[in-house]
Amino acid sequence: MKNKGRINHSVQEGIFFLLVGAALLGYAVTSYGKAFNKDWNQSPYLFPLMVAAAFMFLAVCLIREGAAEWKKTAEGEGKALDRADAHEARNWRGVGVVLILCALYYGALSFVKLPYVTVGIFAFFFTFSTFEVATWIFLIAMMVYMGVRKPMILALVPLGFTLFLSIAFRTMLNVLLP
Amino acid sequence: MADMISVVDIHFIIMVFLGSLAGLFVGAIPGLSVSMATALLVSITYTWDTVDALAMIMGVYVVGVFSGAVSAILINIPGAPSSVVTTLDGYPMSKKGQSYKALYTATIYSFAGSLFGLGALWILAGPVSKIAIKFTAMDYFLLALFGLATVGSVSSGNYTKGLISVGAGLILSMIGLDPLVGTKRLTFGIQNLTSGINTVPALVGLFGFAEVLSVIFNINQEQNVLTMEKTRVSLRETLRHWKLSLYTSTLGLLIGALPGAGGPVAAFIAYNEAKRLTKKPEVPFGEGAVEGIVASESSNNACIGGALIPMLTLAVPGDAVTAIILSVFYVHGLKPGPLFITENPSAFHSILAGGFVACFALLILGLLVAPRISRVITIPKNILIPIVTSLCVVGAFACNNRLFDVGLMFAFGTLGFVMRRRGYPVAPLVLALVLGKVMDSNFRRAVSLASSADNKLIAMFGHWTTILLLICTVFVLVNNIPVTRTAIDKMLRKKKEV
Repeated sequence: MKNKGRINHSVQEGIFFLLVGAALLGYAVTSYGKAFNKDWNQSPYLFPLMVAAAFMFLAVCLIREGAAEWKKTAEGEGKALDRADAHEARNWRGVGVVLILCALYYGALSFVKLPYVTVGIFAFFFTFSTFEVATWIFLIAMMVYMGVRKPMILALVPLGFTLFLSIAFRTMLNVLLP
Repeated sequence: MADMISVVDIHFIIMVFLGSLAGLFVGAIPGLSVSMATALLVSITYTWDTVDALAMIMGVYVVGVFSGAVSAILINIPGAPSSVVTTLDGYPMSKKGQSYKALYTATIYSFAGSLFGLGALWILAGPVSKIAIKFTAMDYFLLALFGLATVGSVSSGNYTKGLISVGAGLILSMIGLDPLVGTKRLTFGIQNLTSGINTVPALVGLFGFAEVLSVIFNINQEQNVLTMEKTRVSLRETLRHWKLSLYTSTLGLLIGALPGAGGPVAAFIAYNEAKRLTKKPEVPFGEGAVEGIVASESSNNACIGGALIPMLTLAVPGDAVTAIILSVFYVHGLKPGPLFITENPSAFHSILAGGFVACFALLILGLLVAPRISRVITIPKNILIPIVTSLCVVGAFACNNRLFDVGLMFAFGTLGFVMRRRGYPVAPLVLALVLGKVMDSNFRRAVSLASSADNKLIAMFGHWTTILLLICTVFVLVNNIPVTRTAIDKMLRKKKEV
């Protein structure tokens, strides 16, 4: 069986949380050791210490539950994992692509600095800069990835929505945009 | 009553109505959420008058909770988490050509539930505040702990996972400056973390962006829209379920008052109760029973008033939306707690008045507009999802005007998505994030005060409210943690054998 040796998810997660709890415990104790004030009552590391201890206890509970579940359904779960994993591999890809697009969007907002340009039409003024350009490109990229192919929709929706965001938030509501 | 009426003028009603209209669309369209809309409103209303801000937010909140029923009934996808249970009978009714009747019922009983909950808030807020004034620092710590222990048990099938979510939220809440001494904790040299994790980007990420990723993950799910057929529905016929509505509204109120439980839990419990109480429904539950919609909608709307009671009187939010509303208060310089009603009567009356006006807006919009918006709620996902993502970016940034918060939002969104996939509830993490610093400061305050007393234990736990809260918290924890539950069951079995 392909998944016979695979550790149950709950056990994996339990081990992860146990390590997190231990790391927090270590942090609380070493930070307390370095601090001037040695009174635990007043120490800012008392609460982290308590939370770390409780977290580790819960992690052990989760490992126990996972181990019990694993023991009971080892053979059957293996088969289920095969089917679930095949399905999950397909859907995770879409999530990965969207996260990459969002990372690029965030990078553009952080590092690309376009000057503010104000356009006046009669008495109405509209300002745009990096946010508007980055959002327009991001919306097109995401819609294309998600399967939108109609040129009219790709042309109008990203542009229209970006204009709406800019006018509604920046111009009318005076809310700062990235 | 006079104080509440004094707050209401044409401008106030318009603000509530605009919020209600926004709430109708936000709640009805799957992918958008009331939490996200409220988070955006925190930023938008930053410079507004407090009364206007609260009016709009109450409009969004009250109508947003109801409007999840619209898509639940028409396309079998709940627009809001609290409308999940409405799909069980709402959609089958639509398939039989009774979608208008289903929506009519949902509107009437959402109106009734909201009125009930807000009425209870009006009556109970004062007495609860009087009890809360006597709370000690240890009482506040135990109250928050009790709330987190409860939310861990009601919001997930696995209690250990629920509590681990709570623990994760508490760890995240410790990031930043310590509330008492001002020492940096868990910032790891990152300057932007000195002020801690702001609630708004975390909430927008956990509820907004996580939803985006979930939709992408399940992109192959089809949605079939059923058209609305307007049939004649008798009000008298609809109102004959008033006793069930009253009972489930009471349930919704009590569950709403429990931190973190909220609409979805209330609706689920109310639905089960309706099944238990209705011996011979005309149509079986799950196949289009009107009683199912009555129970679900009455309870999830009564939750609104219930969730506001602890938020206003104890500064302990009842659900995610009230956690965000708490941010609105702080942004406007208000401090919820036992003295809130006496020190800020206009804010309290704004909330009440906004809620009551929103109830009537719900009735009007539910009867006149909701039946006509079936086309709008079926915006294709490949257009809606990119739009929602950019709204999340705006919402996360606008709170503190920092791009760092946008990064945090993406990180929390990814965390929320992974948590959902792995079966970890998100609500306990949110509540713990909000309550963590309160718990920390109150616990250390209690310990410090007790350290100078002769009998430290009596000083910390001698108050009757402290003992009561301690018993309740220990009971919930011991009864639900599997290890302790198993030990208790073994003990009881041994006793029976003996």
